[in-house]
Amino acid sequence: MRVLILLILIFNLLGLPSFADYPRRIVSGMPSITEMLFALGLQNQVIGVTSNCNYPPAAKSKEKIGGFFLNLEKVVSLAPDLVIMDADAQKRDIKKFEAYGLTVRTVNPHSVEEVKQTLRELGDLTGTREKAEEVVAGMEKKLDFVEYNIALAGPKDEFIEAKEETDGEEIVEIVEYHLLNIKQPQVLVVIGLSPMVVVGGETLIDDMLDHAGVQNIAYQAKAAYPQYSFENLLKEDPDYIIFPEGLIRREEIKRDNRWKSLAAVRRNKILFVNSDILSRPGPRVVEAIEKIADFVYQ
Amino acid sequence: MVNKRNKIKGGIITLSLIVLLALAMFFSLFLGSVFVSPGDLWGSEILWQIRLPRVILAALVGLMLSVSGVVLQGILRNPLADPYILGISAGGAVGAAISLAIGSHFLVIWVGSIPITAFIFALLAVFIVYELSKSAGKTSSETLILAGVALSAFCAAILALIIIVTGSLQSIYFWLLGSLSSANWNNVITIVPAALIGGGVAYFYSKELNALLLGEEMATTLGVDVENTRLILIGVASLMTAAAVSVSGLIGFVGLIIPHWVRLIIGPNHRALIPQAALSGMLFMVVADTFARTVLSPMEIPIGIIMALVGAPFFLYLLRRRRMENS
Repeated sequence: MRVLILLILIFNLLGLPSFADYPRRIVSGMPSITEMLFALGLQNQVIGVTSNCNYPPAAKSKEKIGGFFLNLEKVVSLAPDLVIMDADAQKRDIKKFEAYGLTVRTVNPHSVEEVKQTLRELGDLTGTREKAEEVVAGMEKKLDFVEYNIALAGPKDEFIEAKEETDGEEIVEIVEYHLLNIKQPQVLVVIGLSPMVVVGGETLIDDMLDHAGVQNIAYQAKAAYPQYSFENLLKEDPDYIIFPEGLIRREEIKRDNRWKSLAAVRRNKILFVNSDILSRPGPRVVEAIEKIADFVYQ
Repeated sequence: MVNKRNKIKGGIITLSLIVLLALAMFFSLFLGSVFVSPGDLWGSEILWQIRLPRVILAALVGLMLSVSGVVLQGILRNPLADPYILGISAGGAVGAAISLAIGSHFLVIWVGSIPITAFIFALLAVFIVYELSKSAGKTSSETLILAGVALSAFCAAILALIIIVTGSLQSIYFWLLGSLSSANWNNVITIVPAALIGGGVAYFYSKELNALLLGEEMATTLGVDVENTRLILIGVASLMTAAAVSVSGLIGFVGLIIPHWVRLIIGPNHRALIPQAALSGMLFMVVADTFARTVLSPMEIPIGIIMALVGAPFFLYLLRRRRMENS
């Protein structure tokens, strides 16, 4: 007994985490959560994921605990010491799981900033805070690069002039100044066709568009994912239209000749973005942002 | 004398229906979720690409559903028959969804294939219901409705299953609630033949439908080939229902409300009933759809919801009246 206490004491003194502190059998209730946990290097601690968790590929070989709705029996049989779920989408399951005595932690990021915050929280929760900072820094680096490229797409001479004048110093301020002065292209993200459903304001995707330097024309909508009439779409005639690849097929757009009346379609300013990276509040949001910005400011 | 007066009355009604329909179609072009001033309307894409095909599609769907209702009520000799209640619409929807699902996976999408598979499944559905409820040449209301309910539930389940397996969960709204929001010229062109053939054949057979009202034996003595007539008319009703479903999902009760309403005014003669039910169905659908797309704008109410809100109480009223008549 004494030896054990001594050992624990030594471990603590050395700053090593004691085994009991951090969860070692984690179940993830959402694809985005799985992506975050894997990004934090927790692939060995994660023991259960949903059948929708397809990224990173290694996640596919984990035990499946259900699809969108989780299977309580399956989760219990895995004897997890931590279940991480989405606070909004899985409200009902969360109550059920907690009533059963499982340790549930919830996350609910709705913006890029909140994704970073969630990564840090998960880092604290699992003893991987350092790794979390690393991941967040990687995301920020990508976002800075996107911003820089967008600024470059502005009035170029002015930008280069300003850059030379300051010898490359104060580059951040110059970038920010230019971002303010660029006329942002108008964009609409269409996620359903009949009825037409689009991405409204105060959503993760709206925030991603913001980071990609484009303006969501439906940002004032009352709902997060409002119905949109085709008449409205024709009237607003956005510069770009973004579709989630996999949810909407190019064929469907081609077949319906109403789309040909739109400037964006005629000029082929339509972009299909992998629906996973577009919709999952995980570390890959920056990839979607990059993709959109590249397409618009190429 | 009476006959002549009826003819004049029928003519007046037909004429006023045509005028009303033209007015309704014309004015609905000015209404929508976006305001376009009448001066700009002529040159706007909103008119030519959205409102015009949609108004025409609404009219065609209204025509097909209400004429199918008349035809089904005639051949089944049952006033409660309606493509939606009998599960024919749901059968057609399963066919259309199968066609869409296969098309999306093997990329052999061919616009014409959707109404055709819808037609085959609608036909299958109508034969199942008909065979189940036939007794002594007449169909009993109870079995007819029960068979329709069971078949509808079964088809709705298959439909939901197809949608879940193919992963386009959102499209369940379109199919189960019915909507004209995906109206475009392709859709109009696809269903025009079904409307013309269906409406034309039904009208051509109005004499036979009148004879069938008197019962199979009487019809036979009047020189009607009952089996053949029935087969053709079932085919026609299925064709129209399937075409309507494949562009607008499940819209119920049109085939029930309209024929009843028209019969109340002009009587059971199919020669007048069919064209007037067709016109009334078009008028009703155009007005209802204008309502559906403007009332909560920019949100759209699926038109199937409006129809069920109006139609289901009407159906219950009919049931009650029949029960009182029987007792």
